[in-house]
Amino acid sequence: MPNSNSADVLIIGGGVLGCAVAERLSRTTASVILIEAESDVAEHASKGNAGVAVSYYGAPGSQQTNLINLSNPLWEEISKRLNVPYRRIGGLMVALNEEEAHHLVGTVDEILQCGVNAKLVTPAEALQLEPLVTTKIVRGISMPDEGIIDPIRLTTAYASLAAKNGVCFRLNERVLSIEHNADGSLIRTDQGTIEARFIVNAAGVAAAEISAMSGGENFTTFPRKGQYVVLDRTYAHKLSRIVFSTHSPTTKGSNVVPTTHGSALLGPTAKDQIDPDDKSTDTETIEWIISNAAKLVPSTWDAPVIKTFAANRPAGDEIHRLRVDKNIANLIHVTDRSAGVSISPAAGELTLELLRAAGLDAEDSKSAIAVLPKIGSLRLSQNPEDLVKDNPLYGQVVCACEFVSAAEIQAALESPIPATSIDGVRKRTGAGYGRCQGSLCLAGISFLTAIATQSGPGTVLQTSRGTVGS
Amino acid sequence: MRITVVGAGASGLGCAVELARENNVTVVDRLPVPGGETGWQNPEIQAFFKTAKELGVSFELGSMATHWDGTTLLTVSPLGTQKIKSEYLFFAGGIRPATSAEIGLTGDRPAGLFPATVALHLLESGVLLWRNAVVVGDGHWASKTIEVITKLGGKCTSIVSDDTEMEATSRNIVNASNFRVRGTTRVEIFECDVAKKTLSIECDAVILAGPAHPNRNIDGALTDFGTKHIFVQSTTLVSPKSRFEHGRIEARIWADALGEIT
Repeated sequence: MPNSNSADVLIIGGGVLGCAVAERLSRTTASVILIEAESDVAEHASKGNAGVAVSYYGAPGSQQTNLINLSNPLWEEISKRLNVPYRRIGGLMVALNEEEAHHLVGTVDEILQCGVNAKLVTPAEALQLEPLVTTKIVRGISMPDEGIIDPIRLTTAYASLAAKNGVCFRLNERVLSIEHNADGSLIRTDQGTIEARFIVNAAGVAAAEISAMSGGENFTTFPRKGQYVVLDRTYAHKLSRIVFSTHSPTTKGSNVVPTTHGSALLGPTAKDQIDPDDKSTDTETIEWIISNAAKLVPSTWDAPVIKTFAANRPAGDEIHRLRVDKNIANLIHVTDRSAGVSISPAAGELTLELLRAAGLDAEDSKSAIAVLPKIGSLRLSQNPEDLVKDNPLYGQVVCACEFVSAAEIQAALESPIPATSIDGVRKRTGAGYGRCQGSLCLAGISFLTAIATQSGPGTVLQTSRGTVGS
Repeated sequence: MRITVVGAGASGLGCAVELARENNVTVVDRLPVPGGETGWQNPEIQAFFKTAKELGVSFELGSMATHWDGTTLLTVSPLGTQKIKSEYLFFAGGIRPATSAEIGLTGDRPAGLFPATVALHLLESGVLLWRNAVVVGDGHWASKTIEVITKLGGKCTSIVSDDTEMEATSRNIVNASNFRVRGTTRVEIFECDVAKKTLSIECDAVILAGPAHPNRNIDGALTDFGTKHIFVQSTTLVSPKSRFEHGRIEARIWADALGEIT
């Protein structure tokens, strides 16, 4: 581990992009510190998104599209290397009337111009691709390269590999000021100071604040809240594809998305707001999401809802920003409103290129590891018997709905970037995520977490910020 | 016939005792002891367990049942996995309080929000975890949670549909709807609508205490569809004796109906 008060590169923000950059830099000779204001990585948008590794999102020819195109073919390899659940299940965009059908003709043109696989399909073809889609479909677009990924596991995997390769993670620490000098920058935080030659601004919603603090470009970032509904896998296993709404000029719409857990997500909505901590749901919006989803896939209407939640994506005056600051030569901005997961592998590479071009001496390291050890999942394993033989804790099921074993929970509590809260265990293992929402297992998980973090029943963290007791 | 019962609580033991007179019965439970939510130390549970063993029921305790395909039940324990062949599966997996989504609770998701089953486990540590809790729901979890919190020195506000049964130690709010939670780090306010007005209650915990829903967790036996699995999960009966009797009656009704068909 490098000196934790100085490094070649300081990354600000432990979301999916900050951690992806950390992972890529960790496989070079550069020394790296990552600082995150929350007590865990993958908070905010990185834990509250639909988990779609998209093949298409934005305009042809844009840097964002280029990064999506570079990242998309890599998912099978990355998910294997980092032990992250991923499936290329394909997507189906649905037009429900003539106006939307007309719009899809333009959309498919744009997708093809992006160099991405897509094809207009008839209602009969659409129903073959996803038998649960509405029979009222007028026209569709089949997008075979859309995939689903566990965005939290992706982020924690990037972070774990980076930490194993020596990146110093400073969590629970907030940047207060940034000054520049001949050698680089001096960053004051609420815990101390850090010297760094380069700064990567991956602060998401706080990116504008970090840029301003650093004397960098004047841009705006603000939270855009999305609410979601989670459907139980008793229903969701019947879905075979991601079902997208037709994009309108103002929004990408609310969708039906199977998850790698086996559940399905309905959403998101999009509402700009001021407070980044406002992650509240409301009945009216939840009801809208459910009725909108039922227009696309009617059987979602009475499917069992296990949870509702909201998160804020980092919106702003640009949807994508990955470049060296125009005023400050050692500051690189790495933010993306909605495609952070989907661009993350290529964003790590591009950031490294920009850093090298700006003078960072970072050779690819021969000793760095590139592969995380596989941690088996009792529920998804083809041979649970072998898992139990290797480690009897795999036979100790803690979460009864998702069949998460004590072995998996222990691994999360002992990982390079360990879970330090009950929610941290859920994020890494899925324990407590299922249909009973932890009513059987949360007490046990809180005791295991309390032991691992050397706290007590009242002082153990339930969320990244709040404790079980008051 | 070989029949497997999942759940060694009062209901499951009731099923096992009734079925054992004519069948070869195995009871599986994830806990290493019988009793389920009632607890293994309960004398009635111990008596039911003894009766079941005397009738030849075999027990696979400390094993989690995970999959049922209509002929075979898959279980897992630290000793390994097992495939238990049986012609029918009785599922007596007990009950749990409704989740936030099931009662339509919206708002923020801060620390301090717990299902009552979890709250009761945590309170068993004997620490005063919350000074001012809102307990949502009627029934046995609500009254038990209020009792323990009050005993440890905290206060409770109870959101109930019928306030005649609740403890005098809590403040009762009736006819409330549209529940919301406020707070970023931990819960600060519980909001609800009463007679079309918003009521805000300051609190440091929100405990979800009902209504009761059946626990369902075995893949292949999650929904009511299927002729090879039978659910025995009363959401209203509480006492071990009444749950045991309910298990017996359900098993008897099923056996009689099966007898008529065959």
